[in-house]
Amino acid sequence: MNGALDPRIFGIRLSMLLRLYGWRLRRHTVQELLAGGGIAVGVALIFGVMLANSSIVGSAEELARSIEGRAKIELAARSEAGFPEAISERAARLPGVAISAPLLHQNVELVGRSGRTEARMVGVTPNLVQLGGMATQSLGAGAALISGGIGLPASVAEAIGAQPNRYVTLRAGGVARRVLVRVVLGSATIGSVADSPVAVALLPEAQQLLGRAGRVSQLLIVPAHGEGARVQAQLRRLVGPGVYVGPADQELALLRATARPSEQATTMFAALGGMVGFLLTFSAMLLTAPERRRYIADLRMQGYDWRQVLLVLGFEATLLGVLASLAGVGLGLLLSQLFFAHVPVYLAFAFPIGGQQVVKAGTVLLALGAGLLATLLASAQPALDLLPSRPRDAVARRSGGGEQALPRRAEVALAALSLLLVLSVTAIVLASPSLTLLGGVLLAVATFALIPPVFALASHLFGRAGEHLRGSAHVLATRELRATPMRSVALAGVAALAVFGSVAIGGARADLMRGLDKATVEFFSSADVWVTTGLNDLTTTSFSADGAMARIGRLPIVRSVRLYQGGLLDIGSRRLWIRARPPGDPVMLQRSQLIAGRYAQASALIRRGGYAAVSEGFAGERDLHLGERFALPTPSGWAPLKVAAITTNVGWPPGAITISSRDYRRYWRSSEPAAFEVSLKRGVSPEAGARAVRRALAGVSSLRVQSVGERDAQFERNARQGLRSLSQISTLLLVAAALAVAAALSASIWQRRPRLASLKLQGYDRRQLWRALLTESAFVLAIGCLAGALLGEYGHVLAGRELRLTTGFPAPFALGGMHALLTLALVAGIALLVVAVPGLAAARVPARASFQE
Amino acid sequence: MSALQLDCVVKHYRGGGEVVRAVDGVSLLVPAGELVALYGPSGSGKTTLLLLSAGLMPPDEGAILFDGREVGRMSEREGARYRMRDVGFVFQSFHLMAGASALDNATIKLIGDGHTLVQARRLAQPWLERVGLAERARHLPSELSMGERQRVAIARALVNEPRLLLADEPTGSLDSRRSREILGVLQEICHERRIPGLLVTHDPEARKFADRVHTLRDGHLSEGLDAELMATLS
Amino acid sequence: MSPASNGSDQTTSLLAFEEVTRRHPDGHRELVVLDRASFAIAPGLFAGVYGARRSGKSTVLRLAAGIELPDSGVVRIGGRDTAAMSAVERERLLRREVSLVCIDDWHPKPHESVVDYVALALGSEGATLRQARLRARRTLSRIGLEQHGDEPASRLSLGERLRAMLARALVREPSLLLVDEPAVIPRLRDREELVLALRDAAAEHRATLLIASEEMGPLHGADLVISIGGGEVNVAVPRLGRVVQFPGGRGPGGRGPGGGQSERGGHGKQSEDDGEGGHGSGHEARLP
Repeated sequence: MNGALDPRIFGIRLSMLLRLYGWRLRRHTVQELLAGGGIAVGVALIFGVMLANSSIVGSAEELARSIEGRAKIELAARSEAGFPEAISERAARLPGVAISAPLLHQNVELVGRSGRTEARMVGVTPNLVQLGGMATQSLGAGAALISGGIGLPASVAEAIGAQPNRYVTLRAGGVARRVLVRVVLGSATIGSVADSPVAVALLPEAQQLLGRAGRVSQLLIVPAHGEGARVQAQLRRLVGPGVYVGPADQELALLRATARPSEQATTMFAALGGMVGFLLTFSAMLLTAPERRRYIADLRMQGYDWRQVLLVLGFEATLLGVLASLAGVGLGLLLSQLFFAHVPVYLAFAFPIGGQQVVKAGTVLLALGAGLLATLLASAQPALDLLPSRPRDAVARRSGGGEQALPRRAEVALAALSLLLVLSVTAIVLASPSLTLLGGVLLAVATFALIPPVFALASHLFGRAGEHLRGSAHVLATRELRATPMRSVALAGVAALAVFGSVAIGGARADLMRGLDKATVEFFSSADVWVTTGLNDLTTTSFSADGAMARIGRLPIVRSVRLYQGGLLDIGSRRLWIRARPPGDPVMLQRSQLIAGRYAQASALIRRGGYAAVSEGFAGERDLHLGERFALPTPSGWAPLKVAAITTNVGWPPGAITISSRDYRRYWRSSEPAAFEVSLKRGVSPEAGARAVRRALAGVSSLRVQSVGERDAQFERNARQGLRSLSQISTLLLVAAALAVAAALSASIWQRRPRLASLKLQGYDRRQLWRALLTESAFVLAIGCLAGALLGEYGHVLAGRELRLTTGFPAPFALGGMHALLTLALVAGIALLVVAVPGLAAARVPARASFQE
Repeated sequence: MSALQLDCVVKHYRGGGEVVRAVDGVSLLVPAGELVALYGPSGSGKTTLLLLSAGLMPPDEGAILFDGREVGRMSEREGARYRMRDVGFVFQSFHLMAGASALDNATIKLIGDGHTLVQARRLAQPWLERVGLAERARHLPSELSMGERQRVAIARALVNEPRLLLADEPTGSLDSRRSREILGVLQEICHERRIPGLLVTHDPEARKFADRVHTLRDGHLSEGLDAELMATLS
Repeated sequence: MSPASNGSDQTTSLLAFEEVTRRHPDGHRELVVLDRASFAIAPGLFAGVYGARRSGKSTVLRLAAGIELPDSGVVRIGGRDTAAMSAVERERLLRREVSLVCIDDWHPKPHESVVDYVALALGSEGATLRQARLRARRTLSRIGLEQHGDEPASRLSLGERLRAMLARALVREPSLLLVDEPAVIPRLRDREELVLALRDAAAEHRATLLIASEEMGPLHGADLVISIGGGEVNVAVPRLGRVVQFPGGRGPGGRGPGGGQSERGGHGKQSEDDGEGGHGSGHEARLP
């Protein structure tokens, strides 16, 4: 072999190193797979979650970059109705503006032959190409391409079954229109936009389709070199407070703020997944530790010096680590595609999020590095034999292959550390709720630190309690546990971490679901039937009222129809949910969501006008208290309001502001409804009412009519979908942990066959041995699960608190008893079931195997 | 009182690609109350003979009888019961449990036989004293010397008051003084309790304690020590 | 402890023990395995270490390989004090100068061929896999195992195993070959054959051969026999081709339990894994 191809490292040829690893792999395929599996699972969970999280913002970033190109400044409308095109034309002529491109956008529903989807309709002008965005570059033909119809990205076209030069239905503003699909654009032409839920048309045509003649939503501006600040100042003077003026990447900041709470929760899980993976690898490596020590001794007896031995060990760990981490990255990609890839509905209506995955080199490298480091750490233990204080052929030949137990002092120290961690987490979280994520990770460490002392104590008590009991299973189990404390602790730790994470986050999630559902029901309880665009948009998309309201009002079963308005409003880093309720509504506020203020009084104040209920986060940011004044930037300028009540964020992370629709009409200069609230006469069921309203609107409008129950259900579904990745990753973690523990337990049981055989020589039969093995496994699992559940419940308390305080979510705390028990049972059950099989096989070992040790 | 009787026992098995005639037509009577020492070079089939006597493998031909039962034809459960109740087995590699004290290690058979740990400890304590380990009862195997570990293993084998004693090189890792002590204990047990004892050994001391001596060479048994062994042992 | 009287040994002997004392812990006690032992072996000689099981034979070999260091006294390999070497230097002794074969230390990897088993020993020298295999084959053929080169090492019979281990030790062409316990070979004839092969190989490589055994058989024809027991070491120079009585008629351990120690023993690694060990000649054994 050529010297360059077969370099010498510390005096050993690469070919030799590879050969050495080949032997090792063949000898310990199962253990190596187990160790590699641990790394892969850990890396997959971390990578999958990082990928999913970064894809939300990342896809929006890509979308922004590919459309906005070099645009630095934007004008953005304060409401869906946009601002006059004339303003954008004037702005475009300001000195210092090099290029400008107006856009109009609104959420619409597209219906094709094979499906429907929600998308953002974007009206563009040929100017857009000049911004230099990637997606627009190959659209050189420009206007001609989409003129007279719309262009759809491939993903949207595929979802609804649209084809070029065929018609699809476009529902916008309560009106359904047939539009021609002029072109389907693949990623070859428009890059990553091909995966985004958008529909593109020329500006004038879009204005017509959306019923927004002469309006635009956004103006993207490239200022001349060095003119940015001056242009911004001029723009402000030109448009006043009715239109947003600022950096063009504002959208991304808003998105980041909105997505943060869910990102934090999933990140926490990823961290736990990583720890679980590491522990699993560690315990798999422990299984082979005696053999690897013999291997080290053998190498040294053959004249390998310590650096060469380290090289061999390091090389093998590196190879395993890199391969396993690569597998983990692949698995993570798969995971994120299968589970986390769905665009969260609750974000998609408010932000331009694409469905594409954004894989960054940094993320991959981080995942690989973490996996490699974990493998090296986990496999380091036998290398301790290289210490000069140990004999060179030191080999684990101690009786029964027992491991060193932790000294009593270390156990006490760990218990103290665990307590200290719990206390300091409490202190940290009390002082600063925003550090809860850190607190969660520390709490996980505390959980793990708690395992050795709890394990020692429990096995002592277990042994004590069993002293007067007949039967051998518990006695054998106790002895085996004492003989392999490290391995048992590592495995209990895996179970503990998984249960900890699931109980903590699962509990908080359950609280949140309960809170959100309650808020939803209260919110819609003001009417029996709701008429909206039907989009998953928190009732923020408006439509033209036309005659629909009168038609509904004429129905004999209808007592009253009221006009609900709403939208989104950007203030600072928050995209607030504006809810304008008609003064005639029986319900102005969600009673359960009140944090400050009296319900009846606040409702009355809001009805009267000039008052608003604001979310806690928003109020806290501006240090607003009850009765204090504040101003909102609206299309008509600054709207002066006073605080009538402070609420939770009612489920929308950036928060909400509730006002009277009278105030809304005045300041937003719009009478367009986002919903009709229909109250029925006594005795008419909401379902019957909904049917009647549907009939009345048939053929006139494409609005969706829903009974209050249906409306609730749609909202609750969206909320669950938003939290889906959370529950999926929690289930994944649990199942992975259970299987991992089972695999590691099985391997350790299998390895113990010679000792089991010697017990047979003492007259034990296979059923006694099997029972002992199961008892031992159950004990390890029980300790892990209990410790995890206990601290998990505490984590649940903290997580709930951080949900309420930092993000102002409605998340009333309730002890997750049932959930915790289920989690516990799931992990222990799966693991025990799996262990039972190899346990049975191991218990059947022939007794003469005891002579073959 | 019952004797252990081997009747024309044959056992062949494969190892390293060749058929090993481990035991090739061996007949042997170990009468109650006698300790029989079985000498033979390594690989001569001594251990196989012990495994056969413990009911751990059936003979290819012939019969092994103890207490009127044919040991080689027992079912798994019968075999387990036989080893639990009737046999005391002393290993060369002790197979002590690393997580249990010397005393607890000695209790292992009693626990499998339905005693509580507390009862088992009470029953095992005198046996530890008998092998001279009274004051080290609470030590873990890793804290004991090799000789002490072997004595724990012997106490463990005797604790259920077996009716048949089988020992595989019990003094293999002991010095001569300790060897004599252990051999003395084994001899006393056989005499006192009137039970048969079969001792497989290399130890030249052993024949001084045994009531009879046999040599096993290439699967064949002969009375006394054969010439070659005589040369190495004397 | 300057061995002025042994000054000549330092230059002419390959291996020299000078007033070497070595203790080992055993459970809660400490055993004196070697008590101020002195001897020297000139290059090219065939020497034996004779002693009962757990008498400290392995310790002598481990000291001679530089794996252990004496508690007091000096061990010289090729004239160099092992205690004065750096750790890496000591480790590298095993690469070129010394090979230690422990007969009970047979742990081939599954599916590993005999050639690869032997070739592993050359990895530390920077040989490529191809070179190492080539040299391994050459050594195997010298030891009469060439026809088994491509078989899995785990399938070798006992006698072949020993040859494979020997080949692994010889492939590095050591000047000092240490062999522990060939007595585990069941059949006397095999054992004699192996010892002959050992001696031939050592002679061919002009290597010094030191065999530790609990029986005198393998030490037949040794130029020098070191008997050990109870911490004491006696050196006898047998007449050519014949084993002679030890001076004073003392066999190994002939003094009974020595040094007031209740137990004696070598390094605590033997007994558990010995499996079917060799004939225990015991402490009362006398040489014929």
